[in-house]
Amino acid sequence: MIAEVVTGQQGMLDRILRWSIYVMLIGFAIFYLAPFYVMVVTSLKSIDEIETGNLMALPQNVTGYAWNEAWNVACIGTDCRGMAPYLLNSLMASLPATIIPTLIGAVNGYALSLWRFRGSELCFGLLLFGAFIPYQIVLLPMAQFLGAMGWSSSIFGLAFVYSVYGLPFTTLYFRNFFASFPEDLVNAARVDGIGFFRFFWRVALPVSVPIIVVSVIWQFTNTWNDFLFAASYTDANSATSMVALNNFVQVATGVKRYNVDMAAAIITGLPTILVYVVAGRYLLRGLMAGAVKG
Amino acid sequence: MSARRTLKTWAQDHVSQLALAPTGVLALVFVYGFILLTIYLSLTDSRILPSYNFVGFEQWERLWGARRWWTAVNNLLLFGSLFIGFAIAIGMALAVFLDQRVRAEGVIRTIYLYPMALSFIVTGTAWKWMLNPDLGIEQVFQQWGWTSFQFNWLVQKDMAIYTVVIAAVWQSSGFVMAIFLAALRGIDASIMQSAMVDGASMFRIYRRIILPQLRPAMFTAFVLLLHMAIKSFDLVIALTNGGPGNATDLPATFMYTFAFERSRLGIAAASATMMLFTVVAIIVPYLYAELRAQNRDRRD
Amino acid sequence: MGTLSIRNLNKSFGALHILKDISVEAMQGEFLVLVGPSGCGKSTLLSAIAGLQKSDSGEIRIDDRDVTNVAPKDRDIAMVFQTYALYPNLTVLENITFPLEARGVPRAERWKEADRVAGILHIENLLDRRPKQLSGGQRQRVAMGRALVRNPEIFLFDEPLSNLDAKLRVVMRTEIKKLHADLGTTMVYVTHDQIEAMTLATKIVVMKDGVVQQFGKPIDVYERPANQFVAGFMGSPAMNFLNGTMTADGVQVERPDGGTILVPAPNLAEGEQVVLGLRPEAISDAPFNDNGPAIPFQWPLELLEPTGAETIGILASQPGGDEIVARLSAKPRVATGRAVQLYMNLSNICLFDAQSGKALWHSAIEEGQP
Repeated sequence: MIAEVVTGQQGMLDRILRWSIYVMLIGFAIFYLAPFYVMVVTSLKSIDEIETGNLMALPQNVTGYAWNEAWNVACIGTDCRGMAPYLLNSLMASLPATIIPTLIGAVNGYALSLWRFRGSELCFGLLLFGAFIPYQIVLLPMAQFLGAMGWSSSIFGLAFVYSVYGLPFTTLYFRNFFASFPEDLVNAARVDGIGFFRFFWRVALPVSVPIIVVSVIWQFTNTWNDFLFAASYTDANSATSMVALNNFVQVATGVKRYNVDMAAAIITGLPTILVYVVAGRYLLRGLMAGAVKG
Repeated sequence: MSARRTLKTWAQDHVSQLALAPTGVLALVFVYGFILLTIYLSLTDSRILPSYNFVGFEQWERLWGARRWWTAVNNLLLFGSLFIGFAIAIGMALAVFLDQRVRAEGVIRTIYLYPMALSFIVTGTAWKWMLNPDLGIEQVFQQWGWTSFQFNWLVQKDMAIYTVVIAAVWQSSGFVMAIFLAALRGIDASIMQSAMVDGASMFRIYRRIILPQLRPAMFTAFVLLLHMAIKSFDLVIALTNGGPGNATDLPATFMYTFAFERSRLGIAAASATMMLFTVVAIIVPYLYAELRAQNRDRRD
Repeated sequence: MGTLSIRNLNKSFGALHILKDISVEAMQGEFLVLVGPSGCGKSTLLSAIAGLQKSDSGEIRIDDRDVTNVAPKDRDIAMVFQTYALYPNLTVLENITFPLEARGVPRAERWKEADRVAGILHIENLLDRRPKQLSGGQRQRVAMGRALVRNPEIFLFDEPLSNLDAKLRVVMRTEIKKLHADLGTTMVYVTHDQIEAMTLATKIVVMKDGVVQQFGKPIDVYERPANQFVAGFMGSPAMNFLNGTMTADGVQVERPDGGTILVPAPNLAEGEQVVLGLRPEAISDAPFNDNGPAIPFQWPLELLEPTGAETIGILASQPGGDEIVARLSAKPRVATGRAVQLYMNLSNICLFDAQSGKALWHSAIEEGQP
């Protein structure tokens, strides 16, 4: 009987504790979701409704006006073609800057982990440093370099910059991934006369699919979301969607069209959100591998 | 043995080094070379165009004499400590709560983490709209009946930096939560069970056993957040654009403004170098410790 | 043809001297087993033979060719690893033929070779599986198949059975022995298991702390150990060590109850402290049937552990000495808790220097000698 009473009390306490945990968790969920909710409802309202209504209220008359404006009409500078061309620019810069560093990073990480040599750890350390520098430190020389190569204000130049500074990250991911690869496997290959590249293509690369996914997501989101390089090295024609969005939101003249701003922001943010929702687990795993394990 | 054959065997023996060579060259030029160039640039009289006219520490003196630079540094200290403090506190609390075998953990985790996928420009744009004094949160509360409610930090010179903190914490605390959650999941569950068998309360178990084990994760989170704080650029641009006035300038926006808007390359280079040195002072010991720890693990 | 010669090999990792002046020879067709406790350097020695580790000094010759600085793939060796090291994404067939593919052997020939090897190892029905779908024993066979297909001069085995369960280990041990008998190829085999060493080897290298303690035929290593370490390491239950004093008539051994027994042995140095090495099977509860020299003696018996085929008897230890183990008959008629009548077989005893542990004398004569 006594035991029952005691557990009964504890059960009560436990329930209160659990309820407060859920309240906290849901409260924070609202905190994280609120801006997205506000963005979506704002983008579906008319300007009149925004000015007279409530930020949090659902739209009374759902209108696609803002989305149409943002996609087709919005002016960035004097150029009124909407966001669409800039999304294409972003894509053209991000795609090569995703694929190429992933491939090279795979070879690097493979070499650094499985075909070590005297000084390979030092090599890795020196390369890894490149992942942590504030990019302001390379901003000016890179501008000169791009100018000298004739790549200024070009998507190609931007993709090049992204690729170069993506390499430390992709190398880090693959190196950490291959570090847990059984050493005997490489020894077997060495005894059997299976060369560096043959082993890479036939064994190492096929088994590294999970980390390829991580690397791809990482490079894509980071290059897509970049603002510093894009703002520094592009012009009106080659601007990426981030630069365009910022210009569009900052430089609007006349009445502020918050609904169009929000529609443009959602359009710009959607690709990475989609990537995250589809494959976020892998991204997380990669960040863990890169962050926690160094 | 012919020269060609020797070359071939040499290449075979050094294939790993050869495969790394292109990246090595890129790193040497575009990381280390460019760092040296920027440092050199900070010692020249470069203004609108880079010049190679050596003037010693003239630009550095200008930088250190500029009120605006010190505003940026002060802002960074304020922003950095608040941002890191809140992100770690919230992140750790959420991780501990999420680790209590709650329902729908996957969904909640996804909600907490999605801001990380967004760019700071999008985040800044969204928060700028929510925080604007006319139609934003201020008006929401006023319409809901709290007519005296005031929330206009975004346009207040001495409060605007806190809006940057709010948006940055919103964006990054989920990520910190993920770091702590991973660490919590890595703790041997049997420790917890044996402590419970011994009759320790949950609170006690966390305070005495679990949280001390999160120290490496805390360290990692701290380093990464500090690094993010120092690099913070886009969020300020999108949210306040450094304003009102230059009240929310950070070293990163300072550098950008001086490089591309005010055409003072020398000062910009000096400020970039300051940023680098700060990061180096934090990151290099961290990387060194990490690599050493890894090597030790491997040998054991 | 398949000879191996290692001369004065040295290897250090930083301040750690792992291999100290190792010299070992193997003839064509030899089954050389490197055995020793973990950290003795046996695996490093194998890696050096394979070329996976560069040695600091010394020479390795395979087939009388100096391969000290030759890449692993050019040493004409094949290796089976402890973890099997199968390529996880390749099928069994691809795993086995991968080494041939790398050498540019045409596909038809590769398949023919794979068929041959699969036949030897009874893995014909596994060829299109992937390593994940195989049991431990099957993986072991595939790993051996990948080595076999190369037709190397020397096979290297790095603790190949240590990841298998006890039963399978015995089965695979026999298979490896058969394989060696069929192929007649030189094999070098690393293990920490002295039974594996005894059953498989034609020559054993016992190592400790990077030094070769003894190099010889299994029976010699067992009966005529070079020192107390080898004597204690080889054999299970381990050899018993009894402290004694050299006298004119033999070794005088003190009993736990205060009395002494005299074990006949040549008088090497009167008055010296020696250690008498006595295998458990050299102590019996009945007179030995083979007419070799044996003496009866009294010793307190503490415990009996019947295993069915025999009974392990635990005898009282000397003051400050180790436990003494005897292999008694299946149903010994002795009672525990007091001194009992036992017999000591004198044809298999050793004497060691009490200080250095070096062997002074063995009653067993060297194999092949009169």
